[in-house]
Amino acid sequence: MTQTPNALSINDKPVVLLAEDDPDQSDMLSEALQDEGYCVDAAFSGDTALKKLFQHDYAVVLMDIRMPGLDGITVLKKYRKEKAGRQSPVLVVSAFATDSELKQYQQAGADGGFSKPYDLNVLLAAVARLARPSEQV
Amino acid sequence: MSYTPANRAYRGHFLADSKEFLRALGDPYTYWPGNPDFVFGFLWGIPIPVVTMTVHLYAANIAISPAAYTNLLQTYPLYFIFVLHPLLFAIIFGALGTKICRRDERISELLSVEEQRNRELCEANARLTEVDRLKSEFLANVTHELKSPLVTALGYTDRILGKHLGEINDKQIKGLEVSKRNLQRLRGLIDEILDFSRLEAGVARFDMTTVDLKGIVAIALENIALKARERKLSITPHLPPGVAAVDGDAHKLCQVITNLLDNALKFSPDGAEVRLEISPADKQWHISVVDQGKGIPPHVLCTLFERFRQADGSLSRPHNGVGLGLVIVKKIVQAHHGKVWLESAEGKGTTAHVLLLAAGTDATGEGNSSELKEVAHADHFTD
Repeated sequence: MTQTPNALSINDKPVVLLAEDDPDQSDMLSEALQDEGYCVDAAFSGDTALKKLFQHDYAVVLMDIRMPGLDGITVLKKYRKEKAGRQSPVLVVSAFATDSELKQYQQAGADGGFSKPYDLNVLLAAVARLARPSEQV
Repeated sequence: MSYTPANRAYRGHFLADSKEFLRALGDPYTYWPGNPDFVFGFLWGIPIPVVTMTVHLYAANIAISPAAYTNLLQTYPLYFIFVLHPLLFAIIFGALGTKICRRDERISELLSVEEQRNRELCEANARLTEVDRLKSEFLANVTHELKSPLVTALGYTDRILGKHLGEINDKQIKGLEVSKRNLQRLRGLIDEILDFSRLEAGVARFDMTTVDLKGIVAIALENIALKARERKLSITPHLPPGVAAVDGDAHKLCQVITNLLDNALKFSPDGAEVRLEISPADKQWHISVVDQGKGIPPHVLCTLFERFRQADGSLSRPHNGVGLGLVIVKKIVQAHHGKVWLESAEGKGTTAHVLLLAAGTDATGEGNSSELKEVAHADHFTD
């Protein structure tokens, strides 16, 4: 799941899909991401997230687990199984992050997992590593 | 189960239980024409004695002349042959049939009681499964609801502190840092309560693998390093050479050691030393965490593994925490078939001991029982 040049970007800004149902959390994270120089596409339910995932190639996907409609794991599994061509890296960001749950996300095809409440700087660093591998040392 | 000719397989020997046969003789069902065995006996009541008599006479090689036969018929009353024999046979066969019929009824009664009991067990089982599911679901909801508000609170605090939302002055920075520290403390407490609840509700999952205690200790030391540095405490690990392998859940065992170290740090005076030792103890690994705190009085020592217990429960107590650390430790250690106990003397510090079975040792094996008995004296601390 490495970054390739054909990932979606607007004005040279990589686009991040933010699947998160809590509007406050979504706002906070998208503001932070925009500050870091990303474009953010927000999805507030699992269904929307899945639809968007099949339409565009995002640089990085941040996925909540508990969402209305489809839950994050189902979305992730469907995406990994049915999407042809390039697949975006997915970071799971959830309050459910015990060891066994993180293992489960990894098996479903996640590239990383973050426990809520997360350390914003660590999360942004992880997004940067996936979205802009060329700029990393 | 009703009586049908197909059930004759239950018959057994007809002389086997004479009591039942006598009881059947008193049963009106025996004499009822609807009893198929009664009818059977009645219908064969003529041919059976005649054929039996003839066969017996021939077998005894007694030749009977036609004249003798006529004589026999004339002296043997006709109603014996046409009434008495059929009735006798009807009664004997009818009673046998009743005996079987009643036995079948008893069996089916027992079966239905058994069935009912099974059904009740199934229902109870389903209820328990449902309760378990509800507990997990409730815990998941609580987890989600308690943690979600913290995400935005911590996130925005971080963003303001990182000056992403404009310049802030030193006073504001100080205030936000206090706010952030307290939010993190709240996160720690929520994690602790959730860990405890998951263990208590029995929905915690243990990923058992063979793990090296030394690796786990390294992670635990890393977890606790910042706190130790803040208080200028030194933690000295004494580890055995080679691998200290146990079968267990790496993450949860790490939590055990972290909690014990955390406790030791909490109750040590600034600048003191905390000793962490791992030593082999006959198919087990003995972990001990020794602090130089003020110690715990004996009457408190034995209650510390109860939930919400703290050595000093007063409002003026100097230490924070909800008092679940040791309960979590005990639950995790017990899930690994291990032992945990505290040893303390007032003024001389406290030692926390944990015994874990070495990897590949069967928890239920004969070999271990004696070893576990040796440490049984420690039980009254934990139970």
